[in-house]
Amino acid sequence: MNYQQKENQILFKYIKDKFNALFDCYGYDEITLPLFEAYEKFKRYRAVDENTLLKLIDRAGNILVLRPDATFHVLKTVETFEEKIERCYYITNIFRFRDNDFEKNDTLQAGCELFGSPAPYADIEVINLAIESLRVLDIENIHIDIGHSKFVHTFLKEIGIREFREISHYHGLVDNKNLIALEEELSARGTSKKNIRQLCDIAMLFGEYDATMAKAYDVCINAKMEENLQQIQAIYDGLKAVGSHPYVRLDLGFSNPMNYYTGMIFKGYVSGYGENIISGGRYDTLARQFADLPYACGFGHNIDAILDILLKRQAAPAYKPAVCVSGEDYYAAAVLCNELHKRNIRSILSEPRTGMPALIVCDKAVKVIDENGEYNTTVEKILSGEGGILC
Amino acid sequence: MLRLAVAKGRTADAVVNLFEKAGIVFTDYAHTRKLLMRDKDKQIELILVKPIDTPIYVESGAADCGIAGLDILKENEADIYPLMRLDASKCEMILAVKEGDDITDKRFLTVATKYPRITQEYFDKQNKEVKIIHLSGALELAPILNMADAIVDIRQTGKTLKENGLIAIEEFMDISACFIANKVSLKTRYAEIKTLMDKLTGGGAE
Repeated sequence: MNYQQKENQILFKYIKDKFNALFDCYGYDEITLPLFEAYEKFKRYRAVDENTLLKLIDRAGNILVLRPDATFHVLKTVETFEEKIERCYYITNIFRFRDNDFEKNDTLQAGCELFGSPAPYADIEVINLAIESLRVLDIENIHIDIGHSKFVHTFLKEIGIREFREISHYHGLVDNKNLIALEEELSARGTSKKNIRQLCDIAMLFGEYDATMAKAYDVCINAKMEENLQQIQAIYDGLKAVGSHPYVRLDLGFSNPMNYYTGMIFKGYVSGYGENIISGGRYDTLARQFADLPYACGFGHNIDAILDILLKRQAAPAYKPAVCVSGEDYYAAAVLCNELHKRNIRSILSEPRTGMPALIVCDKAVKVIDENGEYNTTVEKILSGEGGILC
Repeated sequence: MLRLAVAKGRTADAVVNLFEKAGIVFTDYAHTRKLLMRDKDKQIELILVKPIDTPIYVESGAADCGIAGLDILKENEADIYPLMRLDASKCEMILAVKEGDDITDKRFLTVATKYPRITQEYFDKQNKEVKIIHLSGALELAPILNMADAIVDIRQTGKTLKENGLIAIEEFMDISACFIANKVSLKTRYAEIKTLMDKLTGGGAE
């Protein structure tokens, strides 16, 4: 995030307020995540590219990793809770080496995680919440691509690509729709022309849900791939029932650089913006491994991208102006200001300022200056809510 | 209207030819120095760019798709979708030495090239130590002046090599023009891009 621009700071608060209200309403508990993790522990978690980790060395010579991914820290945090948590969310910084310009290495992320259910309704809930989270920010032209993390994987295994590094490599080529390299490398490997054609077709299997799903069955080469499609269909049917389906498209050719997903995966885009702004999916194996929770799904927002979109779309909303409280008798003004704080009214001890409502205290009388002009009232009336200043 | 970035020069000549065969005519192309032009039926806006910049225009979204040599794509990794090779601007990436030189047993090589990344990968695969000299043209001079043992370059006709007394000892990559697309454009304008790809391959592309 570019911390230097005040617009970014204001918009970030706006996003946080909207997300806090929305996630709270859906029953998600906010959690705060630790910033550091011992490198030795983090090594076991292979979902983040080692070269992108930002490390520190403490006085004892231990290597610490700055939080490069929220999911790992969420799992390590909820694992310690006496009472199992079902739904949680976070809004936090993520640190990863992307560029020598260190500002780009510190990004903001928000995310929701839902634990404990293998049923499609959990997937439906998180996808629906992801859509809602963009709608509360009045972001239109959203589209969500859903896919299945095992679809390409199963195909690759079936055609004899089984070694972890090779699978990741070909996954990457499919994900990047690098049809040129796919054709050349698979030909060199002796893969049949039919299988190469099918894998290239899978890479390009995206678009309007029903039409793409119809084509998807043609490239299935075993029952597992068909099962994957049935799982996606159950989720889509649920999204249709709650009315979110117009935002949803199918993309069976994308995987995720975080290769921990075990089922449904999805990405959220906004038309005209080059990066995905949401990414999520089901990660049961990881949840079992790190938090002893059998099932998990969730998503994360790229808040830097959302800030970019909001900044291009509108001027940043201003912070709500505080009420300026002043008076010849400093203590009388301070007492009134204190009373306003107790009533959750944003107020400061200050002489009147342009564009901000003001209260000037003179004994028990108060002169109010606000957008309606100037008028006189009393401290008692102000504190009892009369006169509009408390609204 | 789709915006297509194409490398100026040989690639653009070949692409305009391919388009003509598919019935898309850029009447201005032959007699103008404009860098931006539309076809007769206003389906495509062609922007002519420096070859090395083509992927940058596509990655940024200034162009929906583009046509660039595979050498450029391999040398400069861009965040784009490389979708297919075209039957145009074909050549090879070669390793060449001075005629009569034998570098087989040399443990350490100095190689001059415009393609340091491709060169490094090539020698890494062979587990050979190499010092790369990054030049921007006239590579043939490097072995002649004993600045390098060999060069890695693209070979179109082989004429320049021959005239400068160099000989290719290995061809290791087939280069051709490639069709690339912006990641978001491919999603949002797939039908148009697919039609264009089909036209460029004479109807049966992908």
